[in-house]
Amino acid sequence: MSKHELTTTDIVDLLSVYGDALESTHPLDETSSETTVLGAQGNPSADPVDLIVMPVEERKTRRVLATAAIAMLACVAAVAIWTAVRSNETLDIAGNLETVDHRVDIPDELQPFVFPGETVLRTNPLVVIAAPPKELNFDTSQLGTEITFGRISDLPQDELDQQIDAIVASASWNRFDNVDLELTKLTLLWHRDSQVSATSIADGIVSETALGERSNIRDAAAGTAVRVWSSIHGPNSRSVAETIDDPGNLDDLRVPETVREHIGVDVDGGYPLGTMSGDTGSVDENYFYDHYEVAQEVAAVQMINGASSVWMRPIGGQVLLTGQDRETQIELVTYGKDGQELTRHQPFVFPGETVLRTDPLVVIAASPQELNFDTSQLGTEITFGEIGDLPQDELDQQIDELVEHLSAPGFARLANSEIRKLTLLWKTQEDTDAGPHLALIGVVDGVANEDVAAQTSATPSGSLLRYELKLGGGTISDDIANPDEPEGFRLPETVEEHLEIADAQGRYPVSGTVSVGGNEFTINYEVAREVAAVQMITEGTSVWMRPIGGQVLLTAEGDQQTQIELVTYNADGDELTRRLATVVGS
Amino acid sequence: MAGNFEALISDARPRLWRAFLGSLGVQRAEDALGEALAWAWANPERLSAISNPAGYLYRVGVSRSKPRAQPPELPAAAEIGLPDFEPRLIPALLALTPQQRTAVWLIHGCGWTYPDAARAMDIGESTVGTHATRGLALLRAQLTEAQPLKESP
Repeated sequence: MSKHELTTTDIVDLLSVYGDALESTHPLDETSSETTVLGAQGNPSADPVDLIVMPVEERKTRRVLATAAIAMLACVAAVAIWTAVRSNETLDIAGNLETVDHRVDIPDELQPFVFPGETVLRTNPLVVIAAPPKELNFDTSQLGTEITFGRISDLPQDELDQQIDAIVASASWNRFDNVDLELTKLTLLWHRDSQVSATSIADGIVSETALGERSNIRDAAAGTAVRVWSSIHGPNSRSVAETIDDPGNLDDLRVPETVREHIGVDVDGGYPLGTMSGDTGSVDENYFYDHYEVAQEVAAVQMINGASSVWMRPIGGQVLLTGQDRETQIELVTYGKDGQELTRHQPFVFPGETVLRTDPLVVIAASPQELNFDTSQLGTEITFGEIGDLPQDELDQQIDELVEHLSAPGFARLANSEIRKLTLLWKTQEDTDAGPHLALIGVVDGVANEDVAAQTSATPSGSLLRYELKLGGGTISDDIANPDEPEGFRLPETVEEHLEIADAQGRYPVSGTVSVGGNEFTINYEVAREVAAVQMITEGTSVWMRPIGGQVLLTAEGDQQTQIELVTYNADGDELTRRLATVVGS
Repeated sequence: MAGNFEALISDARPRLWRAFLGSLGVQRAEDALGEALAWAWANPERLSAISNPAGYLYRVGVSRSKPRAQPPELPAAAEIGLPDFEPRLIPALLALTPQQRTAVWLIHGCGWTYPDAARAMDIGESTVGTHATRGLALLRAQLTEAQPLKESP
């Protein structure tokens, strides 16, 4: 037996060939080019200027459809009756806009702002009840206590009208932000103690300069588009708001479809970090609420808080979770409707990192710092390509291959380790016999599943290993203490902190792992977060690099016993450390 | 206006036909195309105002045509004049999730752009990319299996 390898390009070619053959054996009816002339909207008396041309094929189709219209009308009538009874259900007919279940007619210009499943209550301004939660097809007893609030549609109509009137009419209903909004859309989520305003989302334009005291729309000028989440805090309501680009832009109002899309649009990496989008949570002694925004595919959100666990079904992309003792670190887990885990709030994700995947955790390291000094004195800068410049499909493919490679049984360096985190740093082109080959450079943190006789030390099963992917291979740098604690992964903030860790683990300031080939050597050098540039000086030459993810990868001519000097600088050019060393790598 | 609309339909028809054939199957494709174009004739102004009419019409065709079989039935390659074609491709394509299959077919089988496919599927471009990438990866995994060695002549 042998492997029959098909590349992605081969498959794409095959699909194209099959499509051509399918199309050629099932051609469009050429007689359809025979045309007749009908008036616009099928009206024969229409102005000739508005005449349109319709192929025979479509005329036939229309006749068939007309015949079916009677049956369709009966169906529509049945649907109307059914929806009148079940006012929260909607029917998507021709796309995403033509919902038929409203309590009011929707003008065409507002259609795009009504998303599938929403129930329209008013149109001036647009007021909707968010789409109901998804049905769950798994055993939820494992998730702990379910948190529920009242359904908006359960409120008596007069009471609901009164509350909406109050929200719309209030000049400063958001008392913490003291903002006066011209509402574009008001989305109602739940009610609590008959209070609707406490659980809603308002999208609109600031009418007068906001005087918010503690939100990020403070001093927002008139005309600024904002989104205001109204949360609850004890018996009172409070709100948090943020600016959005344009409430007339659907993408600013729509809940992202998938977790992947959600991560992609959150430029701050706030999701699924657990840095709540919308509300950072409020603490009242030992009781707090957390507002957590999730993608549409998320059907349940679980919050694990110490020994307790609560969960909620999102509505309108929102959950509002309550818990006690905020000091305990919260873990947030999202699930699809069939119970598959989608995201897990990761204490192992650090500021500035971009989460690409969660199983295993794959991130792009935080970007390098901006430098505020003249770098010409440092010599030649060594740079690699940015991971973020890769097309999405190519990046996905590269990660797939990398994870598969690292996870393969018998992979010598990691000895069947479980990958805990893959931090991608740069991309580069390697020259191979087969031509240029794209390579990702990064750091893998994995837990050894069996005893490892690594390069630097014998590592017992269960230890966490840090493996540096670099040009032409990789190196196990060392084992990391406490693999279940984020501190084991975290980049030290300062040189001093790094040195303290070095005392315990012996990784810094030596830390560098060196490989020597021919008359060239490469050194991985791990530095603290405050280090913004690393310079390597050898006899007569100087190269330097901006660290990313605490790593630099410096290459220079030389061999074993070459003397090197490594100097680190902060962003202002202040020298932080200087070390003389001798290349003794293998 | 009529000329623009006619040109728009002339451009969209063959693209839609191929897209429907592969994603919905031969039987349903005819219905879907008829439904999509009937809607187009009834809403020329609305369609002309849409930035991606083919994508929108694809959605109209899918949502208004009656589902026949899940997954759709596609002819074997040999039946459409491809006797030496990779026999596992179409079964593997049909085994994908509907979203993956549609994304793979529209982008790689029909040459649609990501924005076109995103409009047609009513999801974000990055989501389309993810579905297409995963779909291709699954196809590759299905097709990259051990093959018996051919004997030398």
